[in-house]
Amino acid sequence: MTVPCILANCEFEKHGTATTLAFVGFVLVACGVALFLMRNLKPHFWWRVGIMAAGVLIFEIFTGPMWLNERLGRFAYVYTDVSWVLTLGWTAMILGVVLLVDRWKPDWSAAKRFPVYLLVLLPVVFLAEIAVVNLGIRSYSAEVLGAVRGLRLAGVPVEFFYYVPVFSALVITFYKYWAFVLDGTPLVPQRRRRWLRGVALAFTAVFLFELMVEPMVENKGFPAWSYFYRDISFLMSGFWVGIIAMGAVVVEWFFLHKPVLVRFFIAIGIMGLVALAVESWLIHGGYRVYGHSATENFTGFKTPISDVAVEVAFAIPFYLALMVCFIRFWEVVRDNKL
Amino acid sequence: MKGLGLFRKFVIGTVFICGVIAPFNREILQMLAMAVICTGGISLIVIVPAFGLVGWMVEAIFITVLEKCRGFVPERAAVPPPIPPSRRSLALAGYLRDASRAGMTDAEVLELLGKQGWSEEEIREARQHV
Repeated sequence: MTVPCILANCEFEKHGTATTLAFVGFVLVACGVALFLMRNLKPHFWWRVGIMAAGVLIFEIFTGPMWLNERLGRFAYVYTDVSWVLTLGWTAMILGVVLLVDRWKPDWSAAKRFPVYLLVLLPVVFLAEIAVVNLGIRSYSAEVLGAVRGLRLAGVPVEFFYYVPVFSALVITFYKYWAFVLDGTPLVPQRRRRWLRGVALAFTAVFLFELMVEPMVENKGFPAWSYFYRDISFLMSGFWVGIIAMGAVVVEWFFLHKPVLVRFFIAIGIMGLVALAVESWLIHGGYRVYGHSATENFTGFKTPISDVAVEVAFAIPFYLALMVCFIRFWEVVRDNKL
Repeated sequence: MKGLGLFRKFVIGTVFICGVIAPFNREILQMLAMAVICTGGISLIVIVPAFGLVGWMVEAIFITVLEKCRGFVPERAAVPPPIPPSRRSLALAGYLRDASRAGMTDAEVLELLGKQGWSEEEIREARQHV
């Protein structure tokens, strides 16, 4: 049963055409030149590239079922249709904008510079999306096409004006948070957690992301009053916020003195285990139904005990990593007046 | 030495996954093998660090448990042992150390800590552990 599924992944259409291979060549050369020129803009530059690439890759793997990246050449793929060439392209683009804005307005606060990143990236990423769609590289899953209104700009759904800022915001906050750690920025420890702010940030992050990945999974069977937009339920969003809050409390009580990296992995580990158990219960109870495009990519392997597709089990810590970095970035910026 | 440490974590992770997890779900090894073959080895850039990460977590949990167990062993010395600093105090000491390294002035540090609700006494105590 599982073997054909794996082979389907192996047999995924990867062969490039002359046009798509020329595009790959262009991306590699452009990224090489851009990264070479930017290498002296900040210390630890290649670490920064790695962090940004990790953020982009996490996002791409997590949202993989929403799009299909084809014809980039067999060498260009990391996992199913997730391509390291596109990851490199998005990485150079987003990092370039962040570093240039930081250099342009170094005296501005991080909170003031943040919307500038998004404003600059919106047209740039949209143009890149138009390019990949019209070259026949990028297409969208049936669930995404079903969720969008149908209005397109040069082949790209106009909903991308929402997707791009959310994608950029999550990836940039992931990068920025780890850049604080990389630069050795002193991060003031919280004496008392500001719960209202933390919950508001967590809810914002969860809602923005849930709205974006909404086509991938359907929330069914929750009380009617709890749905506030399409199939997004207060109960489901509240569950994620609760998990994040629980992880924050455990880390604060027991591991506050540990380095940031250690605290981060402990938090993700604790939250991930609880989330996996609850997600398993929700899936088996029929409350969480993954769309065809998502299940089609599943290899068929299940996690022991919780009996959840390994892809879901891996997606949970990826999701939490992006959420935690988003929340922590804004907390750090506010608490440290950065 | 650092490379050796990373290798040790990778080995611990591999042993843990193959020895503890795989017996419960043999498919995991098959899946990893297929992932490596299907991507022509490229997926190793994810799998090897993932094994290392698992090794690091297993080692960290083991060391923490060991430290906790040791903490409960009664001291035989006549002089009572000094009270260990609290986690909060250690966290604050870490911040003071980082702030000093980053060249922040005392006034800046005190202002930020004050806004977070840290008392002068707590800051004074933490300075002893910097």
